[in-house]
Amino acid sequence: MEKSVALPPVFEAQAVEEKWYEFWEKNGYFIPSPDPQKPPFSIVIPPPNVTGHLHMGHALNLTLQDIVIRAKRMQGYAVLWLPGTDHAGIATQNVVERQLAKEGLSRHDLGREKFLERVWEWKETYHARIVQQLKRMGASCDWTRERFTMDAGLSRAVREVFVRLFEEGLIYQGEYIVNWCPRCETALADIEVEYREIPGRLYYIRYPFVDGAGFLVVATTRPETLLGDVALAVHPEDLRYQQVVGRRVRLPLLDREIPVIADEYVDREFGTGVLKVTPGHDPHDFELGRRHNLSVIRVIDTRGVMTEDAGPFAGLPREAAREAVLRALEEKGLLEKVEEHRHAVGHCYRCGVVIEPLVSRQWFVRMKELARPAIQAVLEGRVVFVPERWTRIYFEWMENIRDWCISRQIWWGHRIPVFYCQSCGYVFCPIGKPR
Amino acid sequence: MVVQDEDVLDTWFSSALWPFSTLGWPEKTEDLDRFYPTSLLVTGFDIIFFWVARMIMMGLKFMGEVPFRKVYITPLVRDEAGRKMSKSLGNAIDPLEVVEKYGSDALRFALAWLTVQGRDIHLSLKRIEAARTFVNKLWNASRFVLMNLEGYSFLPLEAGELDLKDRWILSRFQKVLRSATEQLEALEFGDFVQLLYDFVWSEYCDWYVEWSKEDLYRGGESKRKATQNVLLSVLSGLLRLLHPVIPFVTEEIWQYLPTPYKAAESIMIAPWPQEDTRWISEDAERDVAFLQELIREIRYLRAELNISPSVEGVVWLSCEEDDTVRLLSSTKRYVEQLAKCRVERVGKHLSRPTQVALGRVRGVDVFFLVEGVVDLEKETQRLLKKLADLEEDLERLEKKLQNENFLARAPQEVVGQEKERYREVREETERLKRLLGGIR
Repeated sequence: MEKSVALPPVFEAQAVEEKWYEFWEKNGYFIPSPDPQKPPFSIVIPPPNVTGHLHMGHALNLTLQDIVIRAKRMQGYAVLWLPGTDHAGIATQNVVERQLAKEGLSRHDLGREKFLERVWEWKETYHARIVQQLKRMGASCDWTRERFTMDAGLSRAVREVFVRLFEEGLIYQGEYIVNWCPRCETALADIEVEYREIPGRLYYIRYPFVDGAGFLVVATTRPETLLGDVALAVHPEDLRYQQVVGRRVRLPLLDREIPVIADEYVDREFGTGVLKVTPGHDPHDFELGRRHNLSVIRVIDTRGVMTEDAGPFAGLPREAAREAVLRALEEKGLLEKVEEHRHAVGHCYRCGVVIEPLVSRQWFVRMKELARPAIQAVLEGRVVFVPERWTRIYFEWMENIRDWCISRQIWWGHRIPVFYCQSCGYVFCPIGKPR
Repeated sequence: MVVQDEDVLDTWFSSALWPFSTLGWPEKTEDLDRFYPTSLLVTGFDIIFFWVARMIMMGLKFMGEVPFRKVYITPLVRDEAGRKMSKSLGNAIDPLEVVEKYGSDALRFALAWLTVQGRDIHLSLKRIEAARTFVNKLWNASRFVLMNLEGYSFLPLEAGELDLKDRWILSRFQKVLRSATEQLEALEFGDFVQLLYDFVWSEYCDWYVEWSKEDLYRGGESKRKATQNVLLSVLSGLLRLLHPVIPFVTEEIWQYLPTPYKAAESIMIAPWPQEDTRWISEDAERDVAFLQELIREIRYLRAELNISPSVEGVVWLSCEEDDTVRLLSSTKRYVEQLAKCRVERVGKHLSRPTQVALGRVRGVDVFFLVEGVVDLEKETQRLLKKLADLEEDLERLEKKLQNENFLARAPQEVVGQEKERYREVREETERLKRLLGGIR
């Protein structure tokens, strides 16, 4: 492409960008040199959501990667920048569900198979868009090696990993409290929960002692969950409450007797310093309940409706249940006072509905054993964080690691490769599809 | 009857395998062999745990080796006022709109420019416009070089008739090349971009290109050829250093470079410039730094006296050392070109003509002859008034800085600012006093 004419007076970015990108790609410049003498240099792209739209965070991320990639290529490395997209389970499923809703349909109307066909169609359309957007940024990725988290190869890798972890006993099924979206009817990862500061109320509720007069007052923002309380808790060093530990109180409205226990988790400064313990509907209470061997009572179901265990409130949606519980408390003179209270409440990042912490049966990966070598690797400098300060945050997280809840109650994604024999109850996890 | 579990896996499950699954695992592939562990991961801090940590765990478990050697955590992109960009606030800048309007290069340049390790990015359209202005500056400089190739033929630099300015820019380019390469290796993107910005804008365009005009327009054939080759050599190097940041404009310009400066059919696959310490010349850098100061001083004198740009001033340079006399005699044309004046005399201990604006740089007295150039009476009156104001200012600041109460009570930052201001005003006062000292 030798030129003899002079440079035009003005640089027209729009006129040349596409031309050069095509020229580079067509000539195979993005493909790593096969020369074995060249040292390798590689980056895998953080895969954007396949139905996503490029935002400024992506633009920055792509720019910085492309700067390094292009420089290394010029510096004589065999450079691979491997691109791809993520199927983005719940995000993509929700987009398609919203689309269906416009046609007056739900995913259940279509059924799993037909619904997934729709998602795949959707994926094809939007995949082209996000790829085009990456190209507009000039990203010099090797598109001949592009991957998708649900393509055949990656699905096989997922299956292989699942089976191997399963066989080693690192994957198990268990009851656990998870962030639950009652609208999407699925568990959410912590990152999928959006905390918003909203005005709420703090309700002060009396729990009468079983033996004799008096009561303890508990402050809560969620009175409807008291139906699932299994204990009250105070801080062991709280002088106000040293005499009450070990006594029993009567659960308002349901007449269940529950113990008063002591646990250092209790915040003496919050409310009255007495905490209601509801392992079925609060993650901290769930842990606390485990420590004290308390039972779990579920009073709200997966759709946000009160269960049989909610007694007279069964069948009410959770919002209506709150009103009903408050009215009943007031009638019995057990509602001492109400204060305005701003607090952060978790919302589903996709549909905006308030999250309900729920105990359900989920699949988990045991993390402690996997975390140990990963901590070691960073300690030894085999992985280096830049800027360096993020190393500390990595360690903090890794040292307090909890088991990873890997199951989601949606349809778009890698289906869990566990099979059940309905006649004998046998559970198995084969590498291939069972015949 | 056998049924499969109804649930699907968390999206992050497949993401955790990304660095090796994408390279072909569980097959044993050449790509895995060659490219795993990967060299670098670039991502946001909010997914260190969800993604980065899980990739490390899974990589170690299934590959027996970490998935990447280095993790670069990108800063957050905020708006000009430091607020998070969000749809609801309406302050989000859409990258695709920016690309449409300003070009991809401008956006990339702006983002990299603002990436200073650990600090959030405050992105504004103003900054993106400044980036586009830079792209245009580079374009115009390249256009100048390419339009002045009359009689050009390739000449190895060492065979050319190089003078001070040539040795200077070649030395400066070597220094910039070294720092830029190091900064890139350390992932100091903002510093890398700033370094190249300053070099292109100031040293290459404002100084070297300006000085080169004399040789290009009026120089002898051999001098012209040498200058053309120096211009092209530095430009070719600069384009390659800038290519990773602004790939499109650099490729477009690259295609117009004559051989051998267009060292490959595409700049993308051209080699990174090689360091060549032969071209480092501390002497040339020192001498040019001195000339630059001298030129700034003469420009100052002109500006203070409101001397019209159409007037060619006359300047004498009175030195204390023989070496300085020699240097300035041989390089006075650099001063003449960029300070719009004629250096009429250079000598040791020249006696000062009656009416001059007086300046001083590193032991050299600058006599700017002002008789008949401006309305001396009027300008002097004006400057005396300005001096009086400055002195008043200075006195006020002095008092303030002697006030125990102020020093004790005002925030450290304010005290620091006032001290800085005091230093500036004092310098300006002295400079103006000196200038006026030559006018009687």
